[in-house]
Amino acid sequence: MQIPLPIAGQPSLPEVIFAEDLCKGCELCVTVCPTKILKLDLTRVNLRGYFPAIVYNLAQCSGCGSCAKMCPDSVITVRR
Amino acid sequence: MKTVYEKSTGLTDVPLHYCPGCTHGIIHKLVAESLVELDVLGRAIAVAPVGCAVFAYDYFNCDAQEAAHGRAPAVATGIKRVHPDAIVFTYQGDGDLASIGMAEIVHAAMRGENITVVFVNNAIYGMTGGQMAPTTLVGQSTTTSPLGRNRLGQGAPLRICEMLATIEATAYVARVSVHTVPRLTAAKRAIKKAFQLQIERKGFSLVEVLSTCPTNWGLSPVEALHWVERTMIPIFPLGVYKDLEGGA
Amino acid sequence: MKGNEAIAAAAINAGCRYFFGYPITPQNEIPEYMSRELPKVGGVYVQAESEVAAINMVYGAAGAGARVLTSSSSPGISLMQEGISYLAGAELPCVLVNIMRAGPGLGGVQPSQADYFQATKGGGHGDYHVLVLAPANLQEAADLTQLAFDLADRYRNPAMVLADGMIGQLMEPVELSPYCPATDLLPKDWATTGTAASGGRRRVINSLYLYPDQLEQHVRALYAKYAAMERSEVRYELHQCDDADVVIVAYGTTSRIARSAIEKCRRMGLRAGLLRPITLYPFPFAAFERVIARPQGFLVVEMSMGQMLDDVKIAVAGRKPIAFYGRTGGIVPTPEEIVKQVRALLGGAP
Repeated sequence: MQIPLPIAGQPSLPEVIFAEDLCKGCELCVTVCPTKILKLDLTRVNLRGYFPAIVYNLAQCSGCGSCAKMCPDSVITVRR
Repeated sequence: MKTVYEKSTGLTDVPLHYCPGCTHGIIHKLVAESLVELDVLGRAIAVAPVGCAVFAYDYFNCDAQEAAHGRAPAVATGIKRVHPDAIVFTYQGDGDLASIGMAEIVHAAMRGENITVVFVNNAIYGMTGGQMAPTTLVGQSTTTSPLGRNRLGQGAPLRICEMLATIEATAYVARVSVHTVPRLTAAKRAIKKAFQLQIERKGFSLVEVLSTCPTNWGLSPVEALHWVERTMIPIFPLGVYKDLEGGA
Repeated sequence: MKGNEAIAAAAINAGCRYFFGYPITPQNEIPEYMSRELPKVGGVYVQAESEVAAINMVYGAAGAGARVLTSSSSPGISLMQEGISYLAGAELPCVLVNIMRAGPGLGGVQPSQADYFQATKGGGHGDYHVLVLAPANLQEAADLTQLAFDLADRYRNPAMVLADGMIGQLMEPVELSPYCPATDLLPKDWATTGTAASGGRRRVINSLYLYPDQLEQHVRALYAKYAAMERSEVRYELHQCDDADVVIVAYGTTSRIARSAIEKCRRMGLRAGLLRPITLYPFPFAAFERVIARPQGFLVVEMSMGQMLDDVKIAVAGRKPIAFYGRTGGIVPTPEEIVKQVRALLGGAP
């Protein structure tokens, strides 16, 4: 089931939305992010039992969409 | 707010079953996006392989047929001859295409069947648990080459693009990878070009995509991306091996 | 015309516009005829790289909604078995033609009936059946080929015309009557034509069912179809069985030879009759019920070491004795050989 978690932020910041329960914690998004603002949230697991990927520093997000393009499971939506 | 990236309508709502970080998912997206952007999703017909992508008929948002192992190019031939205006594509792994299906892929190319083949090369048999593939590298350990693939008795990996490029009726043969964003962007261009050539009835097109298998390589998904760069690309050079229209 | 050509012409007459096949003796006239004639009617002929490829092209084309034919001979039909199992499992209509030659292995090229087991008892893996029609002469070969397309479409199942090299190579006059498709055939809305043609509804052709309960349900549904075939599609012929002391059971070319033998027997005062299965699957068990009371016994004659013999034993269920006479290796029995068998069984002329 998709539970998008909108990242609250200032209107000028990009939106990075995760369909978190589809995430398999593979870290491909983490590795391709040019500003290194993604990581796995090791404090919890999603419905599939994986540590989901999250943005931990949206202020540095350029809205390039690399994370979304790389994600094999189409977990991420990026808007700016 | 403008959408930079969202899930393609060329994919169904069915969650993918692939292992975490497996690049099948990326390749599915590139195919789906290409079909949507070329506005041919409504006349696309997919042919699914036997292999990890056996459920591809559940993932692509178009009509599909499940083929026997290796026979997808023959099934695609049957479909395309009946519906020449359909955009028919196969999606095959290295066992499906380069082992049991070698006759079918060569002859579909020979006949110049106006189909597009997406060839996913991860140098191993994924679905069946990590056996040696025709594209396994010399020295690579698999469950049926536990001491590493031995050139003596097991040969060296097959280079499909190089072989098929010698066949006259091929319109486009290219090898790409998806292990970085720039590479997957170039891969999408190649896949889209292959479909465009089918739309223009130019002949047979094949895009070989170097892919990862973290589970059977025994690597993390990120380490597996590096293995493509360091170890696979030197053996399977990226590039365009045949292009009827010239250029890349 | 030649038997092989009659079959090919009948297929085209029945609306077949796609042929995928591979050369093998003694059926090459079929692909050759198709390669000449199909393009003339807007059809497509593809010479595949092997019988394995051919049957998979049939699968693709059948799944795309077309009337499609392939033909081969015994060793090539062996290669097709995986594909035939897939066709049955995916519920795809198609017509297969086997012009039987002698086996096993590379064998010989002369006529044989040693593929009965292969045709009727599966041949490929898994629980399924192919509808099998056995013509005895060229006119029947043409008629049954046309019928096969209707039956295949009606049941969404492969149908096979099982002939032998004699029928394939003989030349006889054949009349191709104007073809009328059966009126109860449903539109092929399950075929893959692109979702634009179906208003967005996806069609998937598949035989993979990884959940056991789903696969069991699917196979039981296939068998419901086969039960319907057994009720409605049995075809056979009884010839002079009403007063027969020996009923000869034979199909195809052998039945034709048996007919000559029966004529000779009758002139000698030996009362022989013929029970000729036309559908080998579904097997005409009902025919045996009609004749079981009268004869002293049955004589099964096949160009094999005894394959239909097993089904005859099931049909007779021990009620009367069954004798068997077989030739193999590509040898075609003569009427005289069969007469000799009948004489031996009936203890000579009365």
